[in-house]
Amino acid sequence: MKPLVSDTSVGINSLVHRLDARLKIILTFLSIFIMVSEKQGDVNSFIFYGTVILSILFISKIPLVQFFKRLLLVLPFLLAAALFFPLSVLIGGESISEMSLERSLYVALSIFLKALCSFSLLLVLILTEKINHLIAALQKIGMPRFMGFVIAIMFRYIFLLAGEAHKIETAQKSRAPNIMKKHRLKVYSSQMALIFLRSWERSKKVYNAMLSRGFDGSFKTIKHFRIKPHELIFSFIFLAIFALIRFMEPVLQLFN
Amino acid sequence: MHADIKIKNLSFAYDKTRKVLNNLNLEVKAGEKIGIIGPMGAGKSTLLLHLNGLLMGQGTIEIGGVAVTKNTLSEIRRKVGIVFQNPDDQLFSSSVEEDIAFGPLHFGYDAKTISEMVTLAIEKLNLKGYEKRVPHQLSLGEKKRVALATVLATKPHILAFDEPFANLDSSMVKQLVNTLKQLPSTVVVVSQSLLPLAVFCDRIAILNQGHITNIGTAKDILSDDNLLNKNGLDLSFYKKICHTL
Repeated sequence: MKPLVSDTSVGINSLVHRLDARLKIILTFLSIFIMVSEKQGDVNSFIFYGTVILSILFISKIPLVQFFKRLLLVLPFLLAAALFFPLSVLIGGESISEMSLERSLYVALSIFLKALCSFSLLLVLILTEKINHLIAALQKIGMPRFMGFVIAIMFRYIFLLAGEAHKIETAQKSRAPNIMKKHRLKVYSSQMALIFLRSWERSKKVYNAMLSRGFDGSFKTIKHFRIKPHELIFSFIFLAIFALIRFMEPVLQLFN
Repeated sequence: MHADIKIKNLSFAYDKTRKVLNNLNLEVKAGEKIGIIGPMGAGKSTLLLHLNGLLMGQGTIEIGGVAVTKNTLSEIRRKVGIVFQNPDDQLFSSSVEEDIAFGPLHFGYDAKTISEMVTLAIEKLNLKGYEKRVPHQLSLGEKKRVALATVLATKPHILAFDEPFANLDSSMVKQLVNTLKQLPSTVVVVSQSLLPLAVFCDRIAILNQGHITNIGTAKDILSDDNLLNKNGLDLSFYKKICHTL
């Protein structure tokens, strides 16, 4: 079966991959925070943010096809958020009816760019770190154990669902190859019910296997977290660039 | 030799309509290799899940002198390792190495011991070079080996296997039987494949309608066609084929 979700960090060795997972998480969220704090409607800065993100993508050696395939999956949601948000919310006290068409388009574009850049950074994070290392790192920086457990189970559940869906689809196709053409909706609904029932059974078995090997709700990993000096320097430079982009314009305006 | 597993009057039901295990009694000596056979739905897998407290029925179970209760679960799970029928149910980490280390990590061993345990299990199961591979992308035979390694790594006192020979080709069955033969631990194997059990089991128990109906040496049990037939099992078919060949 073709894997639905692959652990892409396996086999690639780049500076971004080697970076301490805790540092990577903090960097990602701080960068996202800096980007989303940009004023609504300001889009110029995103040329620079985009350039930095592309450089990180290049340094991390993530296969571009994998990156853009995943990005494409969320693109409709990002577009929807960008188009519908300005239509439904008051922005800075002025309602959409009072805004010029040009301004509302700029607001929509800035929302889209913020979401796109934030998601790109999150993608770099999850494509350069193993999921269990991410969970362990999140727990080390204070995430409750229970949440780590839920994330881990959810991740494992994706594979179970995909596996069961694949089996059911193969069985259906082998017995009724043309059924999809005639009764697509009926087939999908019965497939969904079966998939959930079978996945439920299997998830119980997986949980039993975890319990029998001492699982107590906390996620532990053999990876030793250690932040090296050069990783700190890299992180500092990265954040400094983001801060520079964010505050460049206000500072220039101050001097003018 | 003292009894490593002592089960007394064990009863269990998933629902009120039918008891899966009904007053089951069994004793397994330390270092003994025992096969548990029986028709489909006899309660073999259910019995296995009781050995390390994944299920808890009425009656008592003692593992190496320690009663299986909610308070002793951690100790019991260190003593009893279960290898499940489907390796996909057992492998959940992002690399083979992480999966093998999962048990030792959660049983609280220190980093150096964990590394030694993982290395030893990898060597034992011929998994060198697989350390960084993603478990769910391996072949079935490889997955079965990794699943066994994940349990062997914790060095359990007792190893319990649920249908270990299912879906394996003959060369893999041979490999697995040889591995099981060499294990120093007490081994409990639940299986529908009767022939491999004859090779390495000291005793075979028949589980039918929730309790052990017969127990004896592998030869005594597997050569008695009437007894097997009475319990919904059949080896005469394979015996005839072997005779013909």
